[in-house]
Amino acid sequence: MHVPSAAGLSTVPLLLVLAAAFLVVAAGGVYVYRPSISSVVEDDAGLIDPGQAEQLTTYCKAILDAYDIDLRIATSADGRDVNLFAARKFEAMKVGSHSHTGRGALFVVDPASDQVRLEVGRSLEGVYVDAFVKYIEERQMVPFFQADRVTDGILATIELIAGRAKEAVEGKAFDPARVTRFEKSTGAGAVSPAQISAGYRRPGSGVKADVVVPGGPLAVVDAYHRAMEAGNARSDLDIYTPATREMMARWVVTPAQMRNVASTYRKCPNRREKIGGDHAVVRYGVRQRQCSPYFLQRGQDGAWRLDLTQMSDTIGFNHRNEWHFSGPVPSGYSFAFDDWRFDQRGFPHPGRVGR
Amino acid sequence: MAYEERIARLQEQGVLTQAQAERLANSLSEKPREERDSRRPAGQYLLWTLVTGLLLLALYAAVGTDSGPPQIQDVRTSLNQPQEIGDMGKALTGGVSVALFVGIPLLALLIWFTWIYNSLVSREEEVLKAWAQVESNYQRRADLIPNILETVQKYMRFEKETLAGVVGERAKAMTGREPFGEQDAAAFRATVEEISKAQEASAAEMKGIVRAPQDEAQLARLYAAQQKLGSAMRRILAISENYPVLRSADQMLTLEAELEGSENRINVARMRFNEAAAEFNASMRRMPASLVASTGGFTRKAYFQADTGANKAVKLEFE
Repeated sequence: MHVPSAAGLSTVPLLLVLAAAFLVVAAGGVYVYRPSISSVVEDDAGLIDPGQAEQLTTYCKAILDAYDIDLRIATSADGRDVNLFAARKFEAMKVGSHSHTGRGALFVVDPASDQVRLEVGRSLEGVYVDAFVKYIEERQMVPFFQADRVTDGILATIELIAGRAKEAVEGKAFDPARVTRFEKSTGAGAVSPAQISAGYRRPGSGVKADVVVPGGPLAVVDAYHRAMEAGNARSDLDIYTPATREMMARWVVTPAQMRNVASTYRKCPNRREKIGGDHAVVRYGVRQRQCSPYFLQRGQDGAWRLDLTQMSDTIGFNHRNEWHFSGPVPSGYSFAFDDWRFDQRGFPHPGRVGR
Repeated sequence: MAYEERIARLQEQGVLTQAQAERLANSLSEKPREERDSRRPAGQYLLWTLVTGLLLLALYAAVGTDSGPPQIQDVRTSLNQPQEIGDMGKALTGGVSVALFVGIPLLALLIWFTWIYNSLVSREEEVLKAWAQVESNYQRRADLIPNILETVQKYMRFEKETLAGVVGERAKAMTGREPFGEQDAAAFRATVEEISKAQEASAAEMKGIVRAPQDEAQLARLYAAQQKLGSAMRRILAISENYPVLRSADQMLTLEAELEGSENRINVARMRFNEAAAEFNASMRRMPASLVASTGGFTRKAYFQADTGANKAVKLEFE
């Protein structure tokens, strides 16, 4: 019988172990965490199609990368107490475990009881206080739900979550301590009636379109901000071009979005209007990334009106709410940006090189 | 602002009577205990017991053998003769055998006892932690009382003063109701009285609970007092439905969301307490842990018996 030598017995497994260890270490060095769709979205109620789930996962991943906040989405066909369901689901999904600092929040939508809840993890309680959560649920998410656009409602709410996270980073409101152990939620957050498919009620729809074209481009933009501040989301205001009115009639405009527009532009300095024939642009300082430009057209009656259609087609925002052109600079308005250059992703920079 | 100042100001403004102010001030000052007397794990005691036991056994083993001066063994005398048990087996049948046959089982028994005892201690600690959460959430809701009273009465006063300048029918047409009347004031005062009494009763029950609740009846009384308090606080907010200015005030909306959040935290904390207590009670009743539990002085923990609808959140909407 052949008896292998002691050296023969130990060398081969040792080499295998060393090779495996090397692979593990090497893989660890280049490993980048990518949450799977199933770990971010659990759709027991069948409200979210696969494409939307992927979109939500991508957005949640962007928030995780930017602010270390682990956002998840769960729908329930349970129909019972959504609050306790959310607390248990938070624990079951270990929400916050994708984050180094234990920051986590869970959206729960229960169509059976027609309720929505955002369950906030322990380390985020100080940033996303109950009143804020209630506000974004009722004034941002629910209007989309009313229009039967559940995924859009969640995405729009994540935008506000990102906005608040940005403020918290600037104000150093986040606890930077690393969390090595999963923490259950304490029941923080808020619950609201979801009103899914209840029919979208446009804010200010009872108010007469009393915002009329008052003068030049700057005055029109001012009138638009006043309308937003007053919560007037009517699509038939005289400050909009006919195409914009048609588009606005199909849009879901929420009270939170309007308030956001009003408060954001209040802080936008270096405002300037540029007119080229029947087109005009009202733009802000190039470094004011949250203040996107306005496009206006002069009608046959000589009045300037907002061209939100062109703006919505060509201007996009990233998760930090920074604007950029999502394609080439629109030809009718390019005259207004000839002193700026745009990078490959469409973000503006000072300088004359055109895109 | 500290709650003492708020309560004093509410008393000055006539929102609270002296008795109500005293009740609230005394009950709100009873903050949850930060540190509790918790049971110490048995590890330390048992480790010393083990070490002492092993030392004694070693000593016994040493004393039990021939402790004469070391010398070269004379095998001629040590070798067993026919029909004779020689010296070679003597040491083993003495101290070492006692160490092997008594010490090792004793050691195993002590390790087992320590393990069971410590697992019961850990489970009991979970119950205490869960109870601390319940207490702190009750306190969180109670801390909202002065704030809510102050906000509601401030806006009620504002409406009264505003509407006082508008003649009867016109004021009614503006708001769809009679201006701030005695009926609203009486409802407000009655609810304030209920809040102060429920808070006082609740604080008294909490004070009587040492470490974690063990008496079902006491827990039921606390639960009832807290339910009464929550319901009265919601009723105060419901008064705001009659006052459009108050209803739309940001401060009021924030308070409503905070109250709703506190109620949910209480429900979650109660659920976790019940789960921890159930786990502890079950582990305590299982054999052979029940033997350790009875010698270690562990006692059964009480549960919350929720009534139907207790977990329903307060319905508040931003309009």
